[in-house]
Amino acid sequence: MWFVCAALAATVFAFPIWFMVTSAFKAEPEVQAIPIHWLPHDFQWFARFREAAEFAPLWRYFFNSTLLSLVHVAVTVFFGALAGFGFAKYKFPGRSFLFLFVICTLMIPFQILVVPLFIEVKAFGWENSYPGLIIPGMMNAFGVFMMRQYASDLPDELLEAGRMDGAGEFHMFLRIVLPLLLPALTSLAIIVFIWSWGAFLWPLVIVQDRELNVLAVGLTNYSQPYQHAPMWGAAMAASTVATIPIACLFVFFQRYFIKGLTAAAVKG
Amino acid sequence: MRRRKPINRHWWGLIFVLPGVLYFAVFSIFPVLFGFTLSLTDYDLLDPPNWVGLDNFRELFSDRLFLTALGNTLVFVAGATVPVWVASLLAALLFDQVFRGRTVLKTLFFLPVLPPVVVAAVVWRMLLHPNGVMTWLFGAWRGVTEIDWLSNTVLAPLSMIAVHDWAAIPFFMLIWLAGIVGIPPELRDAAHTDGATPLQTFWHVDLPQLRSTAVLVATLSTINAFQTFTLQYVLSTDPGGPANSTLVLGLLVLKYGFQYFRMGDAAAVSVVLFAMILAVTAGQLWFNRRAG
Amino acid sequence: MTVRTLYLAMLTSTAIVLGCGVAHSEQVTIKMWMHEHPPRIAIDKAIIAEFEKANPDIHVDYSVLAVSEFTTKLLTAFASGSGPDLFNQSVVRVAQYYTSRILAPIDYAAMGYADEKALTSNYLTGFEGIRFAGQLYGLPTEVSNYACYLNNAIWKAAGLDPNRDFPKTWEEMPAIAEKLTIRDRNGVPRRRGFDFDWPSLPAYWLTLNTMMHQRGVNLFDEAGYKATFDGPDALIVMQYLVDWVNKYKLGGPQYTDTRTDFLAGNLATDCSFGIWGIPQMHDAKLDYSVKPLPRFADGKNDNGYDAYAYYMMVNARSTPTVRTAAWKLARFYTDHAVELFTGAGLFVPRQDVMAKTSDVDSQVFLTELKKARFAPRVVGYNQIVDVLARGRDAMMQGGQPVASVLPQENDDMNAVLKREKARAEAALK
Repeated sequence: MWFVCAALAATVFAFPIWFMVTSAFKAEPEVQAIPIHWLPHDFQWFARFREAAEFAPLWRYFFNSTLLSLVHVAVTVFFGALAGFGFAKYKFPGRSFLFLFVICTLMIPFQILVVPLFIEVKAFGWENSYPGLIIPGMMNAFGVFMMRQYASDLPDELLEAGRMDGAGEFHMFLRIVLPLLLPALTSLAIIVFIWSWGAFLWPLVIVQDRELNVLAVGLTNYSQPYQHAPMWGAAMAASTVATIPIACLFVFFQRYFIKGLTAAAVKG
Repeated sequence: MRRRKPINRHWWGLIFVLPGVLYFAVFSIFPVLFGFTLSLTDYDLLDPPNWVGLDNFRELFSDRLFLTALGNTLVFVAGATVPVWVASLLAALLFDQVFRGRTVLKTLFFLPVLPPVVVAAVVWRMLLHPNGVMTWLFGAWRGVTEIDWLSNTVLAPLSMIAVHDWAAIPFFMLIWLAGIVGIPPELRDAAHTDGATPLQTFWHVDLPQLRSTAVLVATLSTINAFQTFTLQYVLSTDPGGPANSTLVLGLLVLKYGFQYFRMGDAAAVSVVLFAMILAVTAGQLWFNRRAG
Repeated sequence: MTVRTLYLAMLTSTAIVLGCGVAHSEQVTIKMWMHEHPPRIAIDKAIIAEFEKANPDIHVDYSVLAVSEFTTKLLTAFASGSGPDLFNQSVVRVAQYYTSRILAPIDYAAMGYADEKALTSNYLTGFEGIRFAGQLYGLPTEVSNYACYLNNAIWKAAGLDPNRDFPKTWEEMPAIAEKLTIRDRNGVPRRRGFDFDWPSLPAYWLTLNTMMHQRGVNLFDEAGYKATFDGPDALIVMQYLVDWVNKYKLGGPQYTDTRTDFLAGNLATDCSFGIWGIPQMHDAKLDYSVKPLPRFADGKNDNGYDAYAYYMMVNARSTPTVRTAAWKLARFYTDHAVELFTGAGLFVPRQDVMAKTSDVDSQVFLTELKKARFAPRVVGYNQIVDVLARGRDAMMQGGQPVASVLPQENDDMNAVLKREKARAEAALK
């Protein structure tokens, strides 16, 4: 009985994904065929993808999204670990205040930042440019929060041992702390990647050149093209492309993936 | 003799946290404060900002667009939290049972979480075409060939809720599962030995243990629902949908800021949104303190 | 030092001073922003090259911006003081620029005209949209009005003659459109006979204004700060449009936009193209006719679609030298109107351009243009058009009665206009 319920639920929920992926490989008339073709009758490997790449700079979008996500991951993971470690294992004046300062930023919904951040970034001259696209949002306080939790669990003896060779605190951080934090860092990296990969509002507002746009915003070019009928086949192909990196992360790093998601949830 | 540098090791902590702190000061805290200031002005980009004090907020209460957006947001939040809370709990209970093919089915059920919101919106935009797949599935047997899922003033907001819930239910199922796994099996065995039915076991054993998870799911889904933007933006024909039926507060900020260029009003709306979210977060803290 | 060395030194230093002087002489740069319209870009560049050659002391910094982002980019550029000196923009935006004092009045001397008359006498019409308080603030680079294109093949297949059977009045339209509509077994139109271009907000704006003008009334008052979209005529216009969708079910906002459908051969009649549509018809290989817009049988005015225009304007915040140079360039540019028309389809009602439009189809547009009103200019255009579109949705998609929605729309528009007026007055202080 459970099986039947589960099978029903799984079918209903997985259906749109199934539809998206199979449509990416159908011939254009098939994509919109009613009644729907559960499997492509006329399987076309790359036609829809090529179409998508011709209509808009699909691979450019992919590159931009990857660049943005990797930079965000690198910055949040490294500086998050650094700051988290700093808050966890050092007592300096103003520690509680600064930590509160950082954590407060987690409560800020992006909508309140959009307009002032836009004006601020324009003042820097970064509007419609890579710095303007990538720098705001490249560090997430959640990284600091999560890493502080994990760093405070590190045994002090290990750190003392690391200080013995007298190479300095930063050196110890790189050599001892980071490797110890690796599993947590991986989970953090995955969650930050997912967040950045789907970032929509900021790129929408700050980018105006097609070439600078990210995949998330670029997708709308296919479903709502300017003065053109929607290109559904290409949209499904582009959507599949946009889902693949996250799907890969899920397949290869499932444990970290789940841990990352639940960690993000529990942080509240 | 070399003097040992008497630098207190702990200053390094300050150095380590400084990059992060500076970044947040520039890109989070300062803009928020700037946003609060903006909300007290009238600024259209072409002329310098004009101080108006609390006028923007005062006017919001008689602003039909704002009131519509507020109403729509509350309706959406209700539809995105209560059904999700219940359904994801049921799903978690379901997939907690042992049966053949559980892993595969659970993975399939979890698929909606993978694509970014934009992708989900684009795919659903196609599925919800008036003459599209959903119409065929729901209408063909009744002989209906056109259902305006996204352009009918009643159906449009419901469609938004449905699409949101489609992705939210599997996600929160995961959270529930993490909580369920934490229930000591002895408690459940004890109940079973005492002859309790599955329903009684659930009500008297599981639920109390899941209290903090329950609060977590409720809070997270609420905060997330308040900030909804991308879904409405992509799934509506014009930002705001037919007769503004899918205009939510997140979209209104964009509309006031980047369509109407009323920066002060955009900031004011976002301040109201911020306040509502803070209220929800405060509520959660209060609940947790009571529970803990 | 010998006398010869001294002499040499004097000569060299004089040469250097003179050389520097020459290099530092007035080089004026005009920052020019235009919309992206591929056929026109090559022509622009040729015109600019010619201009720079004729005026070696002026350099033109030319940029092309995507249509969908042009307005936003202009605003943010003006806001940060880095706006262009010369730019081309649609008439619907100019009221806002004018109230924010972005527009410089025409400098006739810089253009080489004695006065306004000398300029406007070359044109049939087109300046109405850029006239404020009696002064002109730009030159038209495109003037357009819609007329109706008919797909002859579809008309004939339905047993109708495009020439004789195209209705002259709105009242006759539903019946004719019905004959040209193909419906599925549920009555859903699969191929429409005629529909309005609902998804396009500018087209809807023009449609409403046109129909109101045909009935002898306006959407707004003279000053443009009060909405007058109420009264019996407004009710008639709105009811007609609502009936089109809900009663006759001949179309609606949920369907594909009419331009795409017409070019794909899936729509019998479309009235949302201008004279610039002719090359597109040829590209789509359609056998078409052009007819004037229907009027109201009991209407007061004999006008077709309202005209709209694009104007080339100069930034009032640029320095005087740059502004003079910019007006000079504007005249030079618009004097190439014939090339812009033949090469890019941009029609301007100047004597020289109109000489090129003797074919039957173009004549329909010209005749309509002579009778056309100009679309009103309002500050806060984005907000106004949103109010109109959302009110329309409430009536068409939400089934609310016209009589109750219309006053609400009017109130909303007045609220917007009131606030824009207050803002304009505050800015002037």
